[in-house]
Order: sequence, then C-alpha cells, then structure tokens
Amino acid sequence: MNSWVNELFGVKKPVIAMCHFQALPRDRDYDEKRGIDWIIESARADLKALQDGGVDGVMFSNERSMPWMTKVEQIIPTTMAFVIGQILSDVRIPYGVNVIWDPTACIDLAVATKASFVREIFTGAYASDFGLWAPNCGEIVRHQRALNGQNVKLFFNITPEAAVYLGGRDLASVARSTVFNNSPDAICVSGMTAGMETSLQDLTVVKDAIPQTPVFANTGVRLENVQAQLAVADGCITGTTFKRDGYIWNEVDVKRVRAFMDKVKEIRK
Amino acid sequence: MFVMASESDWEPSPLGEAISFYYLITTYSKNLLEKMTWLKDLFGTEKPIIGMAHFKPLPGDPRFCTLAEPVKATPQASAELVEATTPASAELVEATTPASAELVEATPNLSDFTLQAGQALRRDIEALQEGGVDGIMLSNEGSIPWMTNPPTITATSMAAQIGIARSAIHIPFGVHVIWGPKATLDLAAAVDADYGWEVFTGVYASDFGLFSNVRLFFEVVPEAAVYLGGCSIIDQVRSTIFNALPDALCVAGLKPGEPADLEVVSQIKTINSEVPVLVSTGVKENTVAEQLAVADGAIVGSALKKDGNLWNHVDVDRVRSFMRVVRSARA
Repeated sequence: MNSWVNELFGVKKPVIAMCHFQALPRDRDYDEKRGIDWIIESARADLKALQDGGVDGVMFSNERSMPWMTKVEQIIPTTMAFVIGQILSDVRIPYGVNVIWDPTACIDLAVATKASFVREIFTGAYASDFGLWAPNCGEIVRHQRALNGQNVKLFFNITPEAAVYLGGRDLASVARSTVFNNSPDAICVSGMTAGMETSLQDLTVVKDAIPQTPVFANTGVRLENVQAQLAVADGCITGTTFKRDGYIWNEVDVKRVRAFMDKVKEIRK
Repeated sequence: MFVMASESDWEPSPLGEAISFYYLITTYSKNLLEKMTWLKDLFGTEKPIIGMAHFKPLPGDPRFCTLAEPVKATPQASAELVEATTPASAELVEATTPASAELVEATPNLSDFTLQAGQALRRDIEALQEGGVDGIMLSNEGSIPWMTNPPTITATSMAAQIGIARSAIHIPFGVHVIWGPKATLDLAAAVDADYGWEVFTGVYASDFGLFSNVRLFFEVVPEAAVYLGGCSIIDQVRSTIFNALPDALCVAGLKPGEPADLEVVSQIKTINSEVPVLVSTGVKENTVAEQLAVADGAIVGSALKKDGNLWNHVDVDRVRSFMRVVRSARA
C-alpha cells in the first residue's frame, strides 16, 4: 500500500519529528538582539537531539511565526531556507518543510532546499481562526510542477487546526473525495491545536474510507497514546511531546525522544 | 526615519514643517558624515573591489535543469552556461571537492541540485577570497532573462545555497536579487548580509528603518535602461541623493562586462563628494587603474571568471593578478 513511506523512511509507521524554528524576521516575537544566528543554533540543537533520539524523519516549520498567515511574506521562506542551508550538513534523515499555513510557500521552500515532503492544508473550505480559509489545490500543484518539484511528497492535512469545514461535510466523504480529486501522497488527521490528541475515532473513520492512502496522526501523539494511535495510523508527526516537560516552546529533550522511540520500536516488532 | 512619499502628500503645520525640516537636515548631515568613512570601515581599504559570485540558474528559471541522475565527475565538461544543453555538461555537476564529498557522504539523500549548487557557489567564494578581493556580492546572474518582480522561489533558493556556503565567507558580503529591490532587502535580512545592491531609487525608502544595518547600493545608472522623461543624469542623481539617502551609488554600462561611462562617474562625483560612487560593470585588469582613479570602488564579475566569461566559474589566478593591479593602483 504505502510503499513510498516505507521506502523513504526505511521503516514502517515512521515517526516524523517537528523541528520548530524560533520566530523569524518580521514576526511579532522575532528577537532582534539574538538575530538569525540564534535561530540557526536553536534549530541545530533541536535537530541533533531529535536525530540522536532516533526519529525517522524531521520537518522544519515556522511554529513561532504566530499569529500565522495563510499567505506569508517572502522573508519567511527565505529565512527558513538560509537556516536549513546552514544546518543541512548535519541532517542524516529524510526531511520535510512546513511554512505555516501557506502551501505555495511550502513548495517554494521544499524545492529550494530539496526537501522530500511538505505538510499543509491543500484542499477544502473552512471557517477558521485565520478567517475564511480556502486553498486552491490545482494552482498549488501546477506551481509545484512549474518548479520541477514533482518529487516533493504532499501530506494533506484534512482536519486543519482551529477550523471547521464550511457546510458540515462528514470526514469520511472529505477523505474520499480528496483522494479522488488530488491523489495526495499522504493524509494527516489532527486534533484542535498542536499538542492536542488526534481523535482515534477520526483516524479510524479516515483510514477505513481511504485504505490505500497513508494516514498520519498529526497532533498530540505521546508516550501514553502512541501504541493506540499507531495501531490505526501509518505513522505520526510529533512535536510537543519531544520538548522538555512536554511544553511546545521548550527545546527538544533527547531523553524524551529516546523513551518515545524505544516504545515505537517495540510496537513495530 | 524621515520618509516623504511625494511632495503633494507633505503638508504639515508651520511648526511641524520646521521640526520636520530640522530633522531632515540633521539626519541628512549625520548620514553624510558617516558616509565619508563607512566604505573604508567595512572593507578595510579605500577603493574596495567587490567580487561577484554568480548563482547558477535556479528552480523556476528558464535555464534551470534538474539533475535526475546521480552526478558523475566530468572533468572536461565545459563550464559555459550557453553550452549546457544537457545536464551533464553544466558546470554545477563538476567533480566535487573533498569538502563537498564529505558533505554528500554525511547526507546520502542529498547528492542533488541544492547541494551541488551550494558547493559551486562556495568554491567561487573561496576563489574570490583566496585571490584577495575586499568584499563579495552574491547575485543571481543565472536567472537571465531577469524579472523586475522575481517570484518567491528565487530569493528562497538563493538563501538555501547561501546557507550552505555561509561558513566559507569571512569578508563582508552582500546580495543582489536581480531586479527585485524588495526581494534583495528580504534576502539581505534573511542571510544577515552587510549590503544589498539594486535599482532602489526612491520607491523603497520606507523600508530603510527595518533594514537599518544593511547598506544600500543604489544603481543609479542601470544596465539596458534609460531614465524616462529625459531628466539629466546629474539632476536624477542629485534628487536620489537628497530624497533617498543612499549609502553608495553604482554606475553600470550597457550590460555585464561593458564599462560604465567614466565621464558620467566623474560628473556624479561633482554633485556630492561624500557619497561613494562605484562602477558596477566592465571593470577589467587593464582598465581598473583608470577606473579607480575616478570611482571609489568597483563591483567586478566577468573579469574574474575563467577566460573572462561571465558564465564560467571564478578563476583564482585571474583574481590574484587583478588584485595585484588594484593594490598598485591604490598605492
């Protein structure tokens, strides 16, 4: 079924870890005194802890660019590209990028940094904390093609955080039509925000609806629930639980990563 | 920062007018005082030479070619961009240096475009530094034909490659996203560059506050262009100096490799001797002494490339020989 997932990550049910960047230039919380160098060094340290802890893939994202924009300014992917370029020689596992919440900028950044995958909201129409939210998937995929970026795998998040589907379609039919219309490389199912558990029921509904497509648990996977989540999901994207004290804005704690990955390796047996 | 969008927008009260005028004059004179020294402070020499490291065609550019196959060493491959009809002949697929081989080994999934291009850029930067230039300009010559509003991918790809090459840079460096002044400022901020070079005049004055640590080189006589409305070059530059507070001015010839009109340079120098004027195209080993007798510095690209061809890699022997001439001209 999901042979590309196993091929890329070298395991079944891979764990993709988030490497959250510090706030970037122009962001509300950008720290001008510590500058770009600090963003690079924080990312490098988190990357090292994640890799030493044994995760299967890593995704670089501008988590601290809050409040996020659905169409970002040029400075965001450009700074992210510079940071990734600086730490690229340390990267030993497959990597992806996420320019929150701008799928076109995700493609730009992935092509610029030769990332293997991106995660975004590519489809649907939502009422959200960011206003009316309706990406244009056909346009995005044509942009990808124009940049020779066809090899970039697209993770479609079909349950965006802080949003509700306009018109109230049920999740199973959204999953099925998304697969028919867009041939996503993978589907992500999320909780309400970063760190909040993905509903097992939602995961099961989606997996049953689209058995041929890899389905990832996108938020709130942690030591206590990873067994149950991976029993249904084909992999997970995990950030908060790897941070010191499980707090999203702390640095990555290698001990927490190891404990989590030991458990995952046991589950995979 | 004093910013005036246009004269008709500017109708303050008499008191406000006086304060604004005072502010303008003090900012302006402070700015000029500073200008007398910044070039020398930054580059450590009078009449600095800024060597160009050019990017290969980037994703989204017409000449971009993907390297689907693993790269093979092709020692005899032509470096000519114009001859790069197949991916194998492009210079960026040339045999990798030990440093890049190391990097490739450390990152087995990455023997690909971004890394190859980043390493090629790195080699050009190293050759420029080894040859003794005073500063570096990183510019996307390979994106030809250029756009005045380049897409996001352009500056983003440049940033990724600069990230790969950054640890090799140990002299002042600047960026140039041709012909996008806004993209140039974004890239300069993203990679923490010392200066940016573009055709900025007037329009982007409001961005100065944000990027106050980036020195701006205003190309006042751009390539392949003429000032609309027939304003004389002297009047045009006089108003640019007054209205836009440039850190330095650049005068270009018709295209890369063609010399700037020295008569124009010396005319510009008579307007205000405190704003440095650099020549930005067509500076060659046999003309640089004459050019530096008039100009305050030079941005040099083609002359430092193998066989003097813009699209070739930087030739360290040519850089050394060029810089020898420069040093004796400065003495």
